[in-house]
Amino acid sequence: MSARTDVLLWANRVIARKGSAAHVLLEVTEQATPQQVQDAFHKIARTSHPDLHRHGLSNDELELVTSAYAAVAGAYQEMRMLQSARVRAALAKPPSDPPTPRSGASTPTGGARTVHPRAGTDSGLPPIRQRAGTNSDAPRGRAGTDSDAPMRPGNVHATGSSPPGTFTPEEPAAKPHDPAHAMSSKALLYYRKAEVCKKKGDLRGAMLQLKLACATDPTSSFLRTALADVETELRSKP
Amino acid sequence: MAIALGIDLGTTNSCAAVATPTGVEFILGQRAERVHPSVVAFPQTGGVVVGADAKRYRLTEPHHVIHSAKRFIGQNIRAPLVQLALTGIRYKVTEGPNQQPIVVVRDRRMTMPEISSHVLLYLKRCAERQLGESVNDAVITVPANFTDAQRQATKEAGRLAGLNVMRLINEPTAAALAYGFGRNQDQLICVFDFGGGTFDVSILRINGEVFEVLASDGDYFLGGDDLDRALAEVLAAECHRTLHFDPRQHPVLMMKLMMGAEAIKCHLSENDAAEGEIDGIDLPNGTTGSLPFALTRKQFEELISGYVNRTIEVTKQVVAQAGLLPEDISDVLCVGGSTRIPTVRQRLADTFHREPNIKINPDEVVAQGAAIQAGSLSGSIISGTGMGARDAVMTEAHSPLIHGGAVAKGPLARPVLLDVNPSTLSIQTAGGYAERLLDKNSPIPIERTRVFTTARDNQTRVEIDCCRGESRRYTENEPLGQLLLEGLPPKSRGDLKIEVCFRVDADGILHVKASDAESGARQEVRMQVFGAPTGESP
Repeated sequence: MSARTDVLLWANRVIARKGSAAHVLLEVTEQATPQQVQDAFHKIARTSHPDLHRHGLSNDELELVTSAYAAVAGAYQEMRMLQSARVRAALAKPPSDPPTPRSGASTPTGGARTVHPRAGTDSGLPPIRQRAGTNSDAPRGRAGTDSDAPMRPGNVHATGSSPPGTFTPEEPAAKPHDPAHAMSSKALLYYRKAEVCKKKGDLRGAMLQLKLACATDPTSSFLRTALADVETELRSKP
Repeated sequence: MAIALGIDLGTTNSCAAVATPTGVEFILGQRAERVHPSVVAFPQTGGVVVGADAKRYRLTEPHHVIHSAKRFIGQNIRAPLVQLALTGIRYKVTEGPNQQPIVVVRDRRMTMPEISSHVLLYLKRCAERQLGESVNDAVITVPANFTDAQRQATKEAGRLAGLNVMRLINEPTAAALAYGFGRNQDQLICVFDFGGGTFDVSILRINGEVFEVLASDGDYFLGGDDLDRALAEVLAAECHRTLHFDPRQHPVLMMKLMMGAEAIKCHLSENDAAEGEIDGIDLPNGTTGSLPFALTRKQFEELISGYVNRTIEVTKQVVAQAGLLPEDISDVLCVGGSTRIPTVRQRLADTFHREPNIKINPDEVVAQGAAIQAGSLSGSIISGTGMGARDAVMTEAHSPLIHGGAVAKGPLARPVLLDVNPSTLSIQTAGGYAERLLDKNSPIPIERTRVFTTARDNQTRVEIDCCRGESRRYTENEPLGQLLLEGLPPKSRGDLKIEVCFRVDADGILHVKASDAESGARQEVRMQVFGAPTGESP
């Protein structure tokens, strides 16, 4: 019954550390690569997933293991988001730094790099800003591409070698999107018009164009975010 | 050891299986069929008929034949997509308590879980007859993007059928489990599940016995039914043109055209053209006419290209969400009957630059995976000698594992499924924003706690509105329900610390806890959602 003792010891250890940093719960170092984090989580799942202990444990013990496992899953997600944010920040850096071709689960990437993206706008367009968090405590994974990271909508033709301009901030994807990928080509047309309006300072016009874009491509979360941002900006002005 | 059934409860067809030490045994119907139509009929003669027999009543009594119940289970009847789907059915559905859809058949009012429970009960009885033992435990599959309410309603259907639902698992995950169990490899796969009524894509990493879902997305209102309907509309227009009679107002005729469309669709998957007649069309002047049709595969492909484009678009998005490129995927599994359509396979091959895997049976693989998970949870497959022995005798019901060749010697490690939460879960904060607690594609079971505070001075109660969806505006998301925390000590704003804890269990169902650390006031609920079963009779 050593498996039983092991899993209970592990669960108690996790519960005792609840509330501490994510890497502590996963029992990896703070600088662990995405690959190491994933492997650590798989290792925990292999031995301690509550499904594997349905028959050996009492109900209370199973509850303990389940909540410990759920806490570790939360920590895993937190680390993943943090890492993908870092990767995105690194990718947003200008090409002087050779861009990592891709990122995420299968590719080990420099975990500790937190590069702040250049705040300038190449095209001279004012950035549509991502709204800052509304709540007092900062949520997970805002490390690299913080809320002050501008999305550069001018950079729509970014492909291959040139740095991808912007991302859909909502998706946990580590892979960057440029607007051309985030919406249909028809919606992109409206989006470009919205950019022009915004450049002229015509927020209402920008909102209208973005609404049209949303209507053409209602599935694009990128557009919804952009629209929400413009609306917020409009409201904040008299 | 108790037998646990794995059930694929589909929109058009269902399938059930049990794991045995040598492979998976399918539950056969009365005519030795492995796949059972998810159709429930309440014929004039009384009683309840399920499966292939029920399908025969579609032409004689279309108002008493309930099909595609999965489209409405756990749905809010006022949702626009549900209203749209209601135009495609011939039986009567009204609004019941809690805005849930209620089926009305000859003054009998039934909830959607009740309808589905008839299908489950039928499968349970077939299994008991075949195995000679009573069957009480089951694992039921649901589409990966099913909501909380839809999952709860499916569980309810299982309960009504007298089954202990050990787990709800996602269909693509079940397919991946059937594919990868016993292979002991490390690979990245894409499961493309295009069924009768729903569409799902999942990207998984299979690492030995660990099956981790990296990303998943889909559309629960997109399936083979929609393709049939598109084709039936064309046939109806053709009928209007040649026979000068619009069949769209006539349920029996439309049903006939739908069935014709389905047959044409299947024919065109094998052949380049379909030509023939649909006869037995009753015209208003009392005569019976027939509708000739001629359709090439190319025309059909053009007709459905909108639907197919949408599936490919979602697939590309999901691959990106997993942080991968299409080239990273080492195998693409085709699941669900609609993947038999050649253009779907072609588009998949173009997207991933590799031929999709069509060796697996698209109708049965999900039930196979569910059976493996059921066997694992009930403990019946670890005590055996390992599944998938190659020398297993092939019978009508029995199939060895998909990869019989790669099976390890001795008992297999139990599979560990790491599934994900299909959409972002948030609560409403001041200003109408949605503050995220759990992200889309987080592993489940998962728990996350965050601390919030009050917005006004001397606030003694807080309402916590929960929602699901990707928008940052609360109102643009789908509301899930409300939690009320009362009796808080009056304090100035910002001083009160309210802990909100979201927990999604292994079935994908959300539990919310809120507590005030100081006064100890706490509330815990399972979200009561619109459209979910209430327990009251309709």
